[in-house]
Amino acid sequence: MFIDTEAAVDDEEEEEEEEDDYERSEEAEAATIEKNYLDERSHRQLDRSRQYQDEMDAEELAEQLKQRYASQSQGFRGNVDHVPQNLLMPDVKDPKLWCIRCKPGKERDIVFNMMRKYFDMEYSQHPVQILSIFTRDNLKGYLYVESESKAFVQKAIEQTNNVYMSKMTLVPIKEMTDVLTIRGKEAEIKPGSWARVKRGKYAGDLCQIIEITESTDAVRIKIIPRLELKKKGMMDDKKRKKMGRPPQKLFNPNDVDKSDHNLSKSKGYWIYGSDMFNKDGYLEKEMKIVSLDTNNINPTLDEITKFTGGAIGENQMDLAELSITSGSAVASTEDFFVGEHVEVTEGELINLHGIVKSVDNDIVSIIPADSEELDTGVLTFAANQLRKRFLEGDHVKVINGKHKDETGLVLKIVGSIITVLSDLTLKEIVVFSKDLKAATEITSTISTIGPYDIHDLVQIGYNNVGVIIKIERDMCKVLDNYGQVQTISSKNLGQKHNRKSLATDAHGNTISPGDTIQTTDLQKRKAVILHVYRGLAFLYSREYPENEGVFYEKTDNILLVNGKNIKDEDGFAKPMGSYSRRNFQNHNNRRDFGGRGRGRNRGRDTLLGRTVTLTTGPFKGYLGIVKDSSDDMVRVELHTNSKVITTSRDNIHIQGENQERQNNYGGYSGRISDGGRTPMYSGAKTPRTPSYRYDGSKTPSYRYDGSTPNPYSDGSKTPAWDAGSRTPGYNMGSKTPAWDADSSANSRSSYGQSYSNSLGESSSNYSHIPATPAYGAVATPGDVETPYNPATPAPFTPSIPQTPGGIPSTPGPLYPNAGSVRPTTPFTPADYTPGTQFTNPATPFMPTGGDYALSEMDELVPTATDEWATEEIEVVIVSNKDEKYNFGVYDGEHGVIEKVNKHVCQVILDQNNSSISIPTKFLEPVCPDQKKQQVKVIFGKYKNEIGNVHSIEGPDAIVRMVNASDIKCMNLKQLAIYRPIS
Amino acid sequence: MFFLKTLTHTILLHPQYFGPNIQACLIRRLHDEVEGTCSGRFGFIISVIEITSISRGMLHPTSGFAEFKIVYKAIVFKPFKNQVVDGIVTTVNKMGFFVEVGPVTVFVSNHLIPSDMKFDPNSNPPSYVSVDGENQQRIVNNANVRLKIVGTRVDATEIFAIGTIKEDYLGCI
Repeated sequence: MFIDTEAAVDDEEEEEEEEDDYERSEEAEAATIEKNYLDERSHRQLDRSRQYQDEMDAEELAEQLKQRYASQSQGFRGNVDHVPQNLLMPDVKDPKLWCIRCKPGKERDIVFNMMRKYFDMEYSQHPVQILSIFTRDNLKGYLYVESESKAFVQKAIEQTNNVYMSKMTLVPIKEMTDVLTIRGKEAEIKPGSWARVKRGKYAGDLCQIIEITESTDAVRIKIIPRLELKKKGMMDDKKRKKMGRPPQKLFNPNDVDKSDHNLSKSKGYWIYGSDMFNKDGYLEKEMKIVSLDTNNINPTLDEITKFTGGAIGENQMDLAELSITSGSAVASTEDFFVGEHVEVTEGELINLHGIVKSVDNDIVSIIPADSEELDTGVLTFAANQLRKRFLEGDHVKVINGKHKDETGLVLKIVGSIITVLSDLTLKEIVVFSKDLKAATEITSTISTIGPYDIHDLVQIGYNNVGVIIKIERDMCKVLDNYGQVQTISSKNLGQKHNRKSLATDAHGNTISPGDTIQTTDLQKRKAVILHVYRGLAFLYSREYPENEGVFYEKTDNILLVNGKNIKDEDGFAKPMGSYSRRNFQNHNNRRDFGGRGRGRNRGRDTLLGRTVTLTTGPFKGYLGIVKDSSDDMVRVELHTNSKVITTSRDNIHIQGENQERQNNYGGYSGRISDGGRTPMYSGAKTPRTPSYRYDGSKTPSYRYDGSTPNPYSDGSKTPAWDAGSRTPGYNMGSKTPAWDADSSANSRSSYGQSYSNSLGESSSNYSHIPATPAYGAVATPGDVETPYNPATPAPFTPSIPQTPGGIPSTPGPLYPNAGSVRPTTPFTPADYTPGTQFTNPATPFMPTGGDYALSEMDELVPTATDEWATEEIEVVIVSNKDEKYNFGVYDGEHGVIEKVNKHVCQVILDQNNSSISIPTKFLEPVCPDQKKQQVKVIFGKYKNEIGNVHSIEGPDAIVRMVNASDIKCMNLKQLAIYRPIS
Repeated sequence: MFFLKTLTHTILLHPQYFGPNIQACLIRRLHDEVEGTCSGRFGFIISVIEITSISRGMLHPTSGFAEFKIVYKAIVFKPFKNQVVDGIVTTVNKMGFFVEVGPVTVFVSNHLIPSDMKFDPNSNPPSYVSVDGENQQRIVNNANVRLKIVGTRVDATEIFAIGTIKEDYLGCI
């Protein structure tokens, strides 16, 4: 009851006070009144105290309060937390602090003397009027005396030894607190703990304390010596001094010159000079504690490893212990995150593990893993009692230290040392558990590495480049120009390619980095160009999952996605009249070819890389590749001797293009509908390529169909054409009269006219035929843009089901990985067969011919024209798809050419020995089909030579030349059966 | 572990295949596109077992391609932690050795190799040899090894695992 009452009174008082100060709500007032009424005694008491208060004058009250609070603050000194720090600061009214010099090392003695003196004199007439005297261990030669005045201090210490009274200074008030501030938490020095040497030869070196001397101010340490051994012949002292401090190296008595009498051995120690080395080679020496740094040592794992002799793998257990004693492996609160799995490393609950619930100050509260069974609820621990818990196989990320941001799988756990297998490098890294955190992601967040940025184009090695697709610490992944992803350390990256290069896309539009494009393959990926390098464009698309969205494509296989410049892939989506720029451009190019050279168009000259024949000059008739071109001149590299000659554009003839332009070509107004046909071709470009994969085998049979003597129509009937014929575009285009006009053209001289006369109508479609991958795959590596490129040699070899893919070049170029992409060499069929990259290598379309085929192809080209026709070879009369010779009555008839007259041949028919004139296009040479046949070479280097078939192997025949006596390997298509006319 | 899993795959078919063999074509495409791939969730699709249904094709208005949804059953393979698997050693180096367990590459670090097995750098090809004389084991390329998967790292397109042979009944078989 008593307590209750007292409490009530207190309440009352408080409330009354509040009443004085604040206006209170009516309700509260009512409550008070009621309470007062109930408790009359307290009411009266209150009245009295009020009265008493009033009676006291203000000054007195102030004094009283001051006294009260002063004493209170003094009383609470111990409980520092609850008093604001600034109230405890000394001010002018407080006693002053004097700093006096004394003899170093005698501080403690003086303090004890003074203490005795104080007690002796305490009740004498002259008490020692100082409040305190103290000394600081780390400040040698100084005493601090607290007193009201200087005189008192002088009096107190006057007859004391070892004190230098003359050197007495007043400590400024501001600095008084500093004198007594305890600097951090002084690490307790105990044997086995780590320290660093502050200065001297070993400054900064890690050392281990072995024992503490009795005087407690010095310790015996173990350190890796930095010994400078005198070597024979190293007598020049001056030179040696320049060398800087010697490296850390364990002492090995064998290193010491035997004759050096400084070396001796005692009690298992080597003594060299004044230094003592233990049997392991560590230097042991005594040092003052002051010369050691014992706080915040944080030795790195490397240092400890070095200290343990570098054998990190073998005695990892020791290492773990060492690192714990060093404190470097001990986690602090910052290392823990809510939700992390931790385990207790010391105390009663050692090995308990749980999940961090919260972290504040130094306290980490965890929910033990099996808290339900234990019924413990949340437990709290100091951060240094915990460590993160990982299990073998966990995927973790390093969050601190040298390996920061690496991710990997936990391989091995020894105490708090964890071995991690890095994801990127597959190397092992050793880290403290506190520096790890569980991670699901593998990627790193870094996007720069040294001077390199992500998506930079860098030189790799001598002649490769690549785009950085991913950066992880000092390694980065680079997609190179062979499509391979390499992991390269940043040191091995070559220079950055900063130049903003330009290229042209499949339709001749200029493309440069930053443009948005679409690939022409089946996937039609939209992407942004990162870089253009030679014939390759490195592209980036978020939607593409592989290689971080970076891939590359030949510039011929991409289309600028940019509105008006772009011809629709399928073409027919656009009205014919809308091929604005491109058609004109092609047209213009065409004119250039025709020798009417005007200004060059923008973009790459389509003539570049083409195989041409020189028509005049000393090299007339030679084949070559256009290496360079200007408005009216071209530089042609000859096939024969790799000589580069410069000649006028008029003096070259593009291989496969008809030399004499046909007459009635342009006579058909229907030619205009070429535009309609265009899409068909371009349509064939991409989606059709895969069709090859599946339908490739059809091609040869197709040739049967197409075994008409008209090479033109053959040219147009490349497999692509066939494959594409089901597209709407085909119907649009090919059913127009123009198409028929094409094939029925007997005299072609007006072709040229149509070039010059009709803008864009005659040429455009042709000029991009070659761009069709299919087309490229089929035949003409070099002659891509030839309109009538009759590359399909099929008509001549109807019986040999040789797939077109079988003809060109090595398979290498088609496979970026094969390492032989020659992006700029137009002769590589790969350039024109974009689709094939995606083709299964096993498809019959993979070229197998080898280089031989390449050159052969160049020779093959003219077969589609009439040039093959020569006397005394066996021919067969065939029908064209679209037209028949003389209503087809002669179809299938064999005969021998008697005479060649441009496009008409005089043929003696076998059937009745009659001689008829028949256009060459209705004729096909008959290839030899068995051994020992006499053959005539119908084109190529050995044209018109006669030989005997030695054997036939696949598409090739081995021929013994009659007048050359050597044996040649030739394509069957180059040969025709020779039947001399008697 | 292998599972029989019902999965769905969407195929865009080019108009040129629209015809009598469209079904066969779709199935072929499915096999081509799906078998051998890896998804982080289901693991590697080893083989398509059965086609449950093929939806009606939906034409894409602009491209003319037709979209088919195929529901199929496939055997998938996903390695799990603590699973014991057999594999063939592909590479041996001083860090450990790599084992191919079907489509999954497992790395066995030398920390997870029993301590009596030591790397023998002088052997050709490099190998791990147990010092124990009577029952000498040698882990070289193409050796068959039984191991326990300790951890996996699952990417979008790849699964990588680390394994151990540091337990009873693991190691060369």
